[in-house]
Amino acid sequence: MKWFIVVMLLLSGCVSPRVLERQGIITATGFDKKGKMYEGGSVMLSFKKMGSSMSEVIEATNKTSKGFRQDLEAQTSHDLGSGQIRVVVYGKELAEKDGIFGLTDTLQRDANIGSLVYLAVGEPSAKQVIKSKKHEDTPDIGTYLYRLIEKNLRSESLLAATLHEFIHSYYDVGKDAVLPCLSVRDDKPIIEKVALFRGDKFVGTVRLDESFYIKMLSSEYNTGLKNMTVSREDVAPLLIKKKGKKVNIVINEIKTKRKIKLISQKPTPHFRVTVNMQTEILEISDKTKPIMKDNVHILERAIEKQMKKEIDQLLVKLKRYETDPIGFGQIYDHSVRKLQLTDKQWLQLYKDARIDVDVNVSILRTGTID
Amino acid sequence: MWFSKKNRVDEVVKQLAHSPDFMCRRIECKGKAVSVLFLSNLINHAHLQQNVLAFIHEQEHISIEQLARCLPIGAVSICETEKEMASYIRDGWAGIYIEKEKRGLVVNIAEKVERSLEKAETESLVLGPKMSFTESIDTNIRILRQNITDQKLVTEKMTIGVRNPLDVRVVYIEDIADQTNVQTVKQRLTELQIDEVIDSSILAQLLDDHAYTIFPQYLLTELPDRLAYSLMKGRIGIFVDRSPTVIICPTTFFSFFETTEDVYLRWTMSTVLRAVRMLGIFASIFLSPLYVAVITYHYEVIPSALLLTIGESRSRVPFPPVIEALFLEFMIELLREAGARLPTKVGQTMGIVGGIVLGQAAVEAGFTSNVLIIIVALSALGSFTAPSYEMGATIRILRFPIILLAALWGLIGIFIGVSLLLIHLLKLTSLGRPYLSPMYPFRFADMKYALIRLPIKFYNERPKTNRPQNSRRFSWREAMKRKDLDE
Amino acid sequence: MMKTPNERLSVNAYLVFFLVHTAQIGLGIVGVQRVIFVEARQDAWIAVLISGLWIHLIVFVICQTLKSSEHDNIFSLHTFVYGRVLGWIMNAAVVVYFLMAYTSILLGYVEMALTWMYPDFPLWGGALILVLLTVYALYGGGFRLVAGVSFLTFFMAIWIVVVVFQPLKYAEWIHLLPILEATPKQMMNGVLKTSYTMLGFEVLYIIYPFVKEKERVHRYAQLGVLLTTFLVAIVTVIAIVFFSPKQLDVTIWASLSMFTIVKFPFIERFEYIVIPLWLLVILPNLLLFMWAMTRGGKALFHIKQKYGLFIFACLSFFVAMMFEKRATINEFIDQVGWYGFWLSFVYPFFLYVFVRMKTWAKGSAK
Repeated sequence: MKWFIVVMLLLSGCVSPRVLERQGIITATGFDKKGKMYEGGSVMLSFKKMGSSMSEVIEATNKTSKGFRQDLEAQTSHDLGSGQIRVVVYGKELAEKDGIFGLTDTLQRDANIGSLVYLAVGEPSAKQVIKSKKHEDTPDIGTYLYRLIEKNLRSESLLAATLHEFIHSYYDVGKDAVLPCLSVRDDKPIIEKVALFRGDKFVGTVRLDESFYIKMLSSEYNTGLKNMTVSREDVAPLLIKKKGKKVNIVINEIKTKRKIKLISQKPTPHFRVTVNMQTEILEISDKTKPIMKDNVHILERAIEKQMKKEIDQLLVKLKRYETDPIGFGQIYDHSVRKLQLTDKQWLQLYKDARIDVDVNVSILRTGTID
Repeated sequence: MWFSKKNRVDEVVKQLAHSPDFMCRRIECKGKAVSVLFLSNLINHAHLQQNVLAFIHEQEHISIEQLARCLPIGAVSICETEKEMASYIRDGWAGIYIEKEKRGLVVNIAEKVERSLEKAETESLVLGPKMSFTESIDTNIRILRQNITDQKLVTEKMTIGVRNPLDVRVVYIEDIADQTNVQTVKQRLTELQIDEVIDSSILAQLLDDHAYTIFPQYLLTELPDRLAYSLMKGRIGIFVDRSPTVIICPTTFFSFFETTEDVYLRWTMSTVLRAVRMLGIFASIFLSPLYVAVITYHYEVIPSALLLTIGESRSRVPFPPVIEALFLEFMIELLREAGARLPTKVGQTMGIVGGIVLGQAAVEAGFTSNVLIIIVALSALGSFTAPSYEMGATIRILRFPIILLAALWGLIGIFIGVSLLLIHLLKLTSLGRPYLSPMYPFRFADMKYALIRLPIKFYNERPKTNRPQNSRRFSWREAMKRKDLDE
Repeated sequence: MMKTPNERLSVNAYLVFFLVHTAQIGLGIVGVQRVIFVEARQDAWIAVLISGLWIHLIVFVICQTLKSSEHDNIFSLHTFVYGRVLGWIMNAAVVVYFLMAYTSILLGYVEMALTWMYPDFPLWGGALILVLLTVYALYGGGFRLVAGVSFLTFFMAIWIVVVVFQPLKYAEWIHLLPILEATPKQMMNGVLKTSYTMLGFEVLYIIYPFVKEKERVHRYAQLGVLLTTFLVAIVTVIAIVFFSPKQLDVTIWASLSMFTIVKFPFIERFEYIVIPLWLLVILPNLLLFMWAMTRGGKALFHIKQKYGLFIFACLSFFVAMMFEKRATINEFIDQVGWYGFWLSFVYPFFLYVFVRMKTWAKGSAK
């Protein structure tokens, strides 16, 4: 015990403390490209003695991300601490031209930063997102972005946003990453679109309602609201009025099972996607007859048809972007023995891959009325 | 022979010469000189007059033997030497010498100063008997005998202290308590070479296995029911004269967190209460160190919802977190200590004034953060839930080294503290029995005595930790018998 | 020859379960996934199971060896089988192995803690703290304390297993397919690479005399190994489905990296709790290996265990001081694994055969 006290004295002061209030706590960072330089800003939280706390955006321009960090340090009396970073935003241009892997790798390597950091693409630039002024009741824009993305992830309108998932998809052969795409409306960041990546490069966006299908096809369980428009003829027998515009139906997904099967490899990969979906109807824009056992299938078929159409459109779009967020390549890779698939090979195969989609919808409930 | 008698009384007088209240009453009775010697402050005068002096007067024929047979007093004894008699007189007995007789007689007419039986103060209970032990060993033994009428109850008398001899009683149930434990206690008591022992708490320290540890190794209780409960479970009690607390041994770490109330309450409640207590004690040791470690080194761990609250309250504080924590802990200790020294009523007021006013002022002056006030108050509360006063104090002190470790090395420091604590507790023994039992050595059946409580019917055996000779309390089969419907 | 310790020093047989298990689980399990995965790819978990089976067999052989003669620990067995000189050398080899294992845990843990939490803390400082902790524990502690520490720390740390399942939220089970793609050679390499993680059961050779009910040692040792294999297999499977293959290839402490996605309402970054808590996991390792060394020292030089304790503590501290870079530490740990593989995965069979032959020879000589 005596020695222990001696050692304690000996080794005291060997660890440099990082006291909370001495830290300029960064909650969000944004990176943009400006010529050959990185330009970016960080939201720094500083605790105020009286009243509510303040956040401040500090900016810097430098060639490397670490140099950028040093430039930021020069601008504040606090030690910048990245341990509470919640969101990292990459400018669209940067993501499109340079790719973001180099920057995410730095994050991953840093033990201070957790794997649950949200990444996002900022449109038109990260700076605008970070510097936007409106952030509801949250103390700083970083927390706002964090809650915004978290909420959308929870309601499953977004697929993935964490650093872990990005790196995972990046490294995974035959699967491409997606990130939320933040855009600014009225000086307030919102999520309208999902950014698609090929490797670490941004290739395009899809709307949130399209990303619903990506989510549906790439993971097993999900719950989400889906608004769809079906043509009037498809549901005609149900309707009271025979004429009018298209019919809007809002469904709530209860449980979905999807199965993607590689049917044949040659000449081109052929996949069959089967989706079994249990839903509940929340809203139908037109007056309908009571939905009973013998006519519910009409509604089901109509939804199936519309969904299949939309999925096919989406797949075409994804192929055009040459990106595979659903992970067909992964399935291909893991279904075929003794195959060391590379991203390049898969890209070639993916272009010509045939993907058949089957959707089976069953309506479990129709709300409190029939 | 006259010569010899004269000499004897003088010898006794010489031995007690420094006591101004020493009286030597000589009476002529049937032609014989009878000397009655006593310390007037110690005896019951009415008793002396009615039962001794009056009785002697009435006698036809008087001799020591005859007096010893006929005196209407419970305790009489014949003394051979003057020294022996002097020591009896110091205890409040009266000595009687008769002319021309060699031996003297002592009779017990002592009136000891004693307070009346009162409610237990340090170990207060809501349910159950309220009586507590007093400073008189005779009264205490009487109370115990009223509690346990088991015919196997042994109360062995021993004396310790060379200059100021002290009456000590080792009590146990003969066919339950482990004989090795009993032997160990007796051996340690006989081997004790010391001039005097003031209180049972000191005796407990003298009997310790490990002198350098912070943990108490013997339980001190003032509750007769608790002692009775422990004895019936195979433990040993040590009564010490002039002390209102009884030593219970061997003790385990967990017995310091038990109260008799746990037994009196229904099992569900007492299980929950024990859990609350354990949690409180755990929090009491680790909350402030955690605060220090997290604020000093690991701000990453703070969830974002709490970040602002903690950050804002910390930003006003000019000191590093350790100083802040030590300062506040010191303040709480100060309040507690001041409260303990003051009379009860004043103490309460001071506690409130000190707690509220000082706490509030400290936060407003920017000396400490709100969050820490909550944490320190919680940990103080936690330490007070320890039913044993000694253990409570131990826990309060234990915090400080862990706060220092946390300040030095953050969370790893805390876990180094935990490891040290764990190793230390594993090394400890009480009366040579493992301190952490029933946790280690693991005794599953004893968990119901230490950590949780079960319905009474599961307590068919005495805890194995005490190594009872006879562990059966009642028939398990009878207790577990199930009746059919409508039977 | 050593005396069998008396009743007061020995422990109940069920503690063998905890001793064997905690001796096995240590630093290895934090980063085992990558080293096996590099060799056996998605079949890494099968490699773990195979090596687990292998260990079950070895534990059986070890118990048979110890049972078969009156020599119930490895040091006196060696003297018995090889004679005085050769036996001494073999005993020295065993002690060196424990010294290396002890030092590797020391280095590995400190290195991990430094990387994740305290980049500016000196390596020697961390090592010193751990060595002192060991010395404090064993000085006046002895075997019963070691058993107690391994028993209690087991329960203090086992709850982490519940948290390990949380990363399954991000699991991609398809990573496990196709099963059994690895060639036998790859699989063998995978099994070999698990050795560092699974090592520790060889302490049976030394704790055996300290157990009261000898006939139940075997059963509990097997159970301990079973739990270890199960846990290692589970973390391996979880790591495979959690990381993408190329990501796992570069992740040093896969288990810790998995914990980075765990969060609770009151703790944001769970790995910051796990790393300090891991001190409790390696503590029984440190104590057991150091204790084994002191037993060895007693057999080799006939010195008292408490002096041996100080000597070996100093020795391992100085060995630890020689290392600084991660690369060299890794290489050292690899070597310990390799050494341990031969000593614990292969050698017990030979020892069994030798002991049998020697006993037979002696019997027939009479």
